[in-house]
Amino acid sequence: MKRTDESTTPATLDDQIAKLDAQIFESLAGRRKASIDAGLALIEQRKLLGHGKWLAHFKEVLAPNGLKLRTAQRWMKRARKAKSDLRNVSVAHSESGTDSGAQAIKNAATQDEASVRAAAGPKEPRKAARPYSLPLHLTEEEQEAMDALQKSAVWSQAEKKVVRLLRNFCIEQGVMKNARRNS
Amino acid sequence: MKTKLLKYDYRKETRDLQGRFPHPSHVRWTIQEDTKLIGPDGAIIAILLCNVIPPNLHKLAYELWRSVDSLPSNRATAVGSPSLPKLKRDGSLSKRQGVLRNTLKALKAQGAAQGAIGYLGSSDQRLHKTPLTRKHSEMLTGNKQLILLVDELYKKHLSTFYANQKAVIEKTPQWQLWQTVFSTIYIAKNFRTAYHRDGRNLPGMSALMPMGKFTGGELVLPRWRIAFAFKPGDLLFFDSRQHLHGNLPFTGERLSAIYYCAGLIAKWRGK
Repeated sequence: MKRTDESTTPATLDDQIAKLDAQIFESLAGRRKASIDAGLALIEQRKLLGHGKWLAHFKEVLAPNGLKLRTAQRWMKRARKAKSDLRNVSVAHSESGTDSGAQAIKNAATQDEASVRAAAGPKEPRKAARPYSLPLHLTEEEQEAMDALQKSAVWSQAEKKVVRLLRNFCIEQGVMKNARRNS
Repeated sequence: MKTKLLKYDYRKETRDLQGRFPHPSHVRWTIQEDTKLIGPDGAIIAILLCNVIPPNLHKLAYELWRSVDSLPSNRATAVGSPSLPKLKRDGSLSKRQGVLRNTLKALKAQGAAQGAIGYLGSSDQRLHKTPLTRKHSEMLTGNKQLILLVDELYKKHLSTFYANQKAVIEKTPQWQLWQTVFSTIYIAKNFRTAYHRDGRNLPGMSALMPMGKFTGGELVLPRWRIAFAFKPGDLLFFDSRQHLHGNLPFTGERLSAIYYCAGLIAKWRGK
């Protein structure tokens, strides 16, 4: 290890030690994560092959490359635990504070939301746009395809896409304002 | 000091918790002694220092700060309410958003209040001395010794974070609280917060100091399933901008002071 230079101030020495600590901790956590990932892969493999075949595969492929069965079993156990921990956390996080203070705030916030909704009134339905014909010069094949597209289930989707494309082109050409940017 | 390596990062699982109230089931470990928490990437997540603030200092601060009386009408997420458009007198909706009347009434009934001392950003993107500091300068000057001590502890225990923050705030000495790395102290009184982030702070650590006579009120960091059970005299450093945090319920009168550097300072390009 590098000898501490006499001119090194205590603060920089502390910083160096802290940096090395961080490096060691990162490696430790990385090692743990790697073993969980490997454990998950082993579980998946065993599920695909079935226990008997998996053991044969393990002996043939993994064991000769330095992985002991005991280690693989430990990794699988760790992966199962990590998976179940995650499930428990998700369940726990679906809870939210239910004490009287939290409940009072939640109730008041619900009342406020209702008053805002009432003040906003019912949403005005968007005015239906009238059909608009474009003088497009299409080949016969293109016209047939257009007819088929209009009769298909994806027409509404296609229509939206075409309108969006035309809007963007109009904005680009300066014949239409970009309403989104203005708002 | 104990060092605890946090092996699991529940970032994904805590994505939807913002604006919701902490629940004891969100906590796996409760920290109540001097501890340094290290994340899986080796970075420091938080440091809890116990009994580092002498009683005369935190008691004086409690007396000086307990008179804060503004309702937290601008902190919808921390209150636990959605940010809603304000209602004008004529019943129409305003463009301004915040916490509305019924929720504020409920907060008032709980005795919740807030105040900021030092400098805060305003709509013109500049920092100004807060009205509370202008009106009650003793809230700041009377606690000079305490603020310097918190700064000293920050420097001692988190030297790298401290140096980064110092480099930023020194460019705008007019908004520095003396020679410290803090520009602002936010006081929350009897305010049990829902999960939120302090998005207007400068990246780095904030210092949190509880005061008063209370039980409960642990600060929860759900991403790490950690709660800090701190008491008057303790000091907690953590990145309140990055980490979602909130409080468990408490009884009694509880004040907490958050020492931080306003994020606007980094954006300031003026003279």
